[in-house]
Amino acid sequence: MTEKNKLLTILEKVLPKDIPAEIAVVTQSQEASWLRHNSMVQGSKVDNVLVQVRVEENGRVGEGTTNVFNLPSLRQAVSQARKGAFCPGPLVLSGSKGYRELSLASATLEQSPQDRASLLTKITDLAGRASLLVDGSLTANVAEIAVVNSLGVSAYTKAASAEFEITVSSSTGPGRGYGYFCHPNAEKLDVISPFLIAAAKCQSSDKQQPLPAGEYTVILEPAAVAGLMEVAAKIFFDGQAFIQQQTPISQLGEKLFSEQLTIWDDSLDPRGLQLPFDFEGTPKQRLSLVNRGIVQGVCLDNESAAKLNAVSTGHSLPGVGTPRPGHLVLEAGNAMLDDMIASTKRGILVSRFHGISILDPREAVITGTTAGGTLLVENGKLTAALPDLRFVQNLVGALDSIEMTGDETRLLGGLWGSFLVPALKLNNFTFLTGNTGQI
Amino acid sequence: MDLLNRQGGIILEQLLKHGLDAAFAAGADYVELTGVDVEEQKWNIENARPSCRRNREAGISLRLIAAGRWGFAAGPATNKPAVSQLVKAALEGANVQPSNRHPVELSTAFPATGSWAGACAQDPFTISNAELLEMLEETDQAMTVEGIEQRRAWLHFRREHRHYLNSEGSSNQQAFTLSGGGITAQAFGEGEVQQRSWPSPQGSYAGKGYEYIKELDLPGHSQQIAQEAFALTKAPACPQEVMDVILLGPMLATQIHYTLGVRLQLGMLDSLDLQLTSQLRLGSPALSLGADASLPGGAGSFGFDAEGVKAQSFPLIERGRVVNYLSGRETAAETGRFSGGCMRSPSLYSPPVPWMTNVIMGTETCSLGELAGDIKRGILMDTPRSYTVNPQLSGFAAQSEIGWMIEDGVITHMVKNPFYRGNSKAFWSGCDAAAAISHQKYYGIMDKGIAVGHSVVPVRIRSVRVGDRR
Repeated sequence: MTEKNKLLTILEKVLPKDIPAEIAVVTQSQEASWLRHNSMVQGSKVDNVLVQVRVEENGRVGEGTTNVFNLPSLRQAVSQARKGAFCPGPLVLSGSKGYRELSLASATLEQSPQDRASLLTKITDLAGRASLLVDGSLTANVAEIAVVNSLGVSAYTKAASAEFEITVSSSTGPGRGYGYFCHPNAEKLDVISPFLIAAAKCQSSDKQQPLPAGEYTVILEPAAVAGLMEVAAKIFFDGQAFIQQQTPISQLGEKLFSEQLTIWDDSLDPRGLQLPFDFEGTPKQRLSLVNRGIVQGVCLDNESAAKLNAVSTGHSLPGVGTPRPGHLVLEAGNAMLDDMIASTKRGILVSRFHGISILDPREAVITGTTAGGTLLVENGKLTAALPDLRFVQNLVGALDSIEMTGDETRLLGGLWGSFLVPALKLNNFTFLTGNTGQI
Repeated sequence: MDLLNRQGGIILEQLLKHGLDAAFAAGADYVELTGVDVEEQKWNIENARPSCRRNREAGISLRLIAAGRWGFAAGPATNKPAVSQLVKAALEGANVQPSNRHPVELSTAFPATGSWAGACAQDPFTISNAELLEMLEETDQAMTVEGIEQRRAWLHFRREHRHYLNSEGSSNQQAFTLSGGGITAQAFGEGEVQQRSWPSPQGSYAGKGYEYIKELDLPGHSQQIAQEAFALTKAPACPQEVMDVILLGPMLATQIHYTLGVRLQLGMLDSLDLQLTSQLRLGSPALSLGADASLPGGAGSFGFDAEGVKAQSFPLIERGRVVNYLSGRETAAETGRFSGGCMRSPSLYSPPVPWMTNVIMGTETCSLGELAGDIKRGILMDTPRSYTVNPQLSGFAAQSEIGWMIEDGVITHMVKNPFYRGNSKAFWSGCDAAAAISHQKYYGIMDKGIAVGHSVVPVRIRSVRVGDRR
């Protein structure tokens, strides 16, 4: 990690003074321990740097990037950006505004490979005793973000996350269970609960029965809701897609979804992975996206905001190219997961989704499969395990059919894209034939 | 190669040797280091708005075995103290308690040394900005036809110098040039977006210079794909029924990539045992595939893989049965084989994994007309729009940008949204004919940052469930 003042001083030294310019730096250190079939097979540490220079030269915008953070390399990136200025300008820059200083959980920074190994050993011991196999990883991420520009922005922050992700599989059958936990503070990482949930799912899904194609009620656990929200972020809340009319939203204020659906983006929420400004240095604030089913807003960076004669909502992301929510929150309701199951005559409990793909963005038609444990609900009880099921679904229709919303939110995702979401019960979800391997 | 290697390779070689010696002195049982220097240009034109991004990237990755497990560290290390930090991090990652109950074993590999450079007749980094812009503007202009709302053309050039060293005496220097590009036109219909791309929405890549961009002929395909995109908004929907299918082009390359290639990457599934059923059948006798990491100009070509093993060429599937896998030294050892030389990584920040190189499809004797001629009712698809596989890779769902109906052996009209799905093995078991070598085409797919070459000929698949999204 570089000291704040040292980092900003170097950037300001390199920032061109004769033209509008911006330099953004992201350094990310990721340490991870990897499990394969109950053995810790690899420990890793990766230090990555992304320096992005954007300039306006003779009314045209150019961009250069590098991963080497020293003066010659930074100057070369500036020179490359100036030489490659072909995109019609102007370069829209954020003005200098204050942002909230955040403190970093030091435990995440200090977690050692042995700390991670000790946590994972608890899991492998439990799995071994239950004749289950665990694959997965435990990761600590620490990042620095710094932005300087010609309008006086000089912003710096640190960010951190610790993540635990596992798949528990049966050594004798097709059963699978998925477990995940994420927290900004590595000390608060709970590895036991996700394992127990995943193990239970795995054991209960070893004997699977086929399911006829059709529309079903679904109970989506938070990891499954996060999967839908990830694709919803692309389809509904991407400002660039909104400008290009590649979305079902024709105008803000439209009621598209169930009244039970309220979504916002808030990177200052202390329950999530906090970030005080975006990668153009725009200070973050809460942005309402959907209020009681009515579309309220889309995410904008400086360029997309200029096209709409609006101001940036602070959603410039590194490497994505289009502005999207990075800290999406779905408002919790008052239903417990058990209530959702108990109130269901016939439905499907989904642990998570896999491989969601957009078939048509304007129609919001998506496809994917369930994964990590899919269970049949009959007369208020979990009665049987199902194979992974393929769905083809209109996402507007699905989110317009919310019957119940969970009372607890869970944090899922990573540093640059996280989701604080509850479980949802939807009345309308279309599955194709559900024979194992026939999806 | 000036970011890391300013004095003709001497500095980089010294850094790698320093890391090797330091790791051994600290107790590593096996060490390998790779120094990478990358130069990239990404050109884009979207609705007449051009942009260009230039990237330079350099660093070192280090992988070692200590206490029976892997330690990996990577970063933009440009001096000895930084390399020492990589050694320390990798060792700390591996040297944890309890010890590994199943220590890593590597298959024997004979030390290989040498240098290799990929094909590059016309260096893309010497093409003037004016020439590139002119070509992109011409392409964009040609897509400006009735009904087209979004136009995009792009180019990607990547030059990578790689220097590898391991503790068993292997060392090599390689220079890769990768060129890719593509175009997409979108038309908006009633509540829908229809698109056509060339060669595919993800373009196509080859291990060649600018000559590959000329081969792609983006301007020459622009007008036709734009007209087809608009025509799709008025085309009938694909019928929902079980019918025969002809797959070709990038649609076929994508189908092979995800339903066959990924399954043959040893270690990709949870259990190796699943893959090692001897003579596993994945398709009909009309299906044959091979891997060739030495294909001239292939997107997945190299001289040595990421473990320093020489490039190889071998059959993967013969007449529907699996005869070999894509492996590295660890997965080969687990299965009692020698490495297939297929270890690849998307960047210096990721440890290598067994991955496809260039996948070459076996040819038969049919012409395209003969494939269609024997179809009473079917559909021809050549460009993927969407593709997903299930977690165990046994099932898939795909949608092509465009479908061409075949009725009584004749192509009759276009249909939109041709969606098909199935079980991979059942799908390929329905393959009853492949075209002759004269129909062979090459496409390069970029999958998770790793470029893979695919050489394909059109195939006919019987009895596929098409059009049914319900």
